[in-house]
Amino acid sequence: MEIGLDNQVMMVLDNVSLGYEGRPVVENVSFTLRRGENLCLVGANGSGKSTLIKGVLGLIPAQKGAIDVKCGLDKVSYLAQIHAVDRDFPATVREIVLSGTQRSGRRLPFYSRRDREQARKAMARLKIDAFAGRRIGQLSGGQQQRVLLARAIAREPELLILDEPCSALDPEITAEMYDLFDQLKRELKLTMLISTHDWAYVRRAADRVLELGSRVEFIGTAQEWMETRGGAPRE
Amino acid sequence: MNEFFEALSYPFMYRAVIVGVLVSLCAALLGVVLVLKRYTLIGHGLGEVGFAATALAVALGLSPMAVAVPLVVLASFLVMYLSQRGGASGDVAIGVMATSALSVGVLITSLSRGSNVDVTSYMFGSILGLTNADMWLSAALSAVVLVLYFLLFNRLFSISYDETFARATGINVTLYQFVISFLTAVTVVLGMRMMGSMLISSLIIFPALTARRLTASFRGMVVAAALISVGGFLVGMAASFFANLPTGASIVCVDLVMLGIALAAERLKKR
Repeated sequence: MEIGLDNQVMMVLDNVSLGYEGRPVVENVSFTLRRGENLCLVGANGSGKSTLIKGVLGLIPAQKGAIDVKCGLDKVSYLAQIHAVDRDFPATVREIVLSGTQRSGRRLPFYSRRDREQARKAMARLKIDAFAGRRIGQLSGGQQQRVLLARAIAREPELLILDEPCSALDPEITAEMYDLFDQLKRELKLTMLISTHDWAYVRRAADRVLELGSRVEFIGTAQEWMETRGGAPRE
Repeated sequence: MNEFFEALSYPFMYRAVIVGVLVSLCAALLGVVLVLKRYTLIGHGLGEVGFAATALAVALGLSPMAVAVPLVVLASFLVMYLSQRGGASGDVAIGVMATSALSVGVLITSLSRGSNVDVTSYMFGSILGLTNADMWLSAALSAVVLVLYFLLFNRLFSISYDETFARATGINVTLYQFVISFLTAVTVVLGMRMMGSMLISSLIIFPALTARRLTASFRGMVVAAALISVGGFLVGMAASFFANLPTGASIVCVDLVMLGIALAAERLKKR
């Protein structure tokens, strides 16, 4: 099994159930994410992919079991599904990317020179530096998602969690974004947990696949997933 | 105009201008966050709680601010707590709280004085009645609001723009939401004397709405809102002085004209 750089554990989920108002959406999920790995989370709509990601990020508490993010949340970053950015929201690309460098435990509330440098590098890497001073609402959907990806990597994460990051983008931009994820994973030595419906990407890029259907339907290498399940999750 | 500057040498006038500028600044800065987070109703609801608290303080012979600050802060925490639970409960809570507080305030005023003569001064402000003690207390509370806002500026941006990302990256969003509530409550109490409990929310909403039309960045919106708010206060104050009009209502009308101009300018630019 090819799992990237080494076998250091980044995150452990032990028999975790998650849901809302006491009702479980996903139950008894256990897996280990290793450093350098690309774990693709697949499953039909409503199978609990986003709920699992929210649990991992600490946005909702686990109803049962334990989630242990070994590297700490400061080393985790996140890119969500593209949402309708309020076109009037007064935020420039630079302000948004810089905000990604904020960390919870820091005493000084202001951005340091290092933060600004990290944000500048992230914008240059994603080729959005040309419109750093523009309002986010003036950009196209693909450009906006690049800005949010730049914000995610500006904090120099070790683990990048992506929740259907291309769900509202057209096919050409989607292909570009997936290439970007590959490039970033390689260049920044990222570990990635990505929920997606794009099976072509899963076949090409996943080290392992976790298929959810309110509980774990499958976990194994991308090769095994394609062989045993024909590479298509149950809808 | 000379007449206006001469009038500034009177203690009641310079006290009014100093407090007015400070309150306008605090209200504008917080207004940016409240407008972007769609929390603007909170300011209005808290104004009415402030009215009830002031009526209670007067009835008991206590300092209005000493009673209003803790009560309005408590009410703001309650509203924030209910808003956090999601759904419509936040809006409903504000509606219930605002109208109940207003009624209680009117009843207290009526029972304690046997008439409702003083109600309008609580409701619509009386900035020229500020004492020296009022001025110093207002200056101290404004300093707290401004310093906290400056220190938390970047966090406030993150939370206003994308609360989920902020939470996901370990920022204690709930704590900052309660800080925003606290600062709003203090600002509402500060502004009540000047604008009255009915009009204080306009000082929070209008400058931010106008600034939003004019700028591309969050920082730009904050600076523009501050300038618009202080400018609106000074023009409104001068207008009320010359035309002998109520100060609070004059300031709101100036703010409304500025919003109208900003909207028209935006329309013309789009054409």
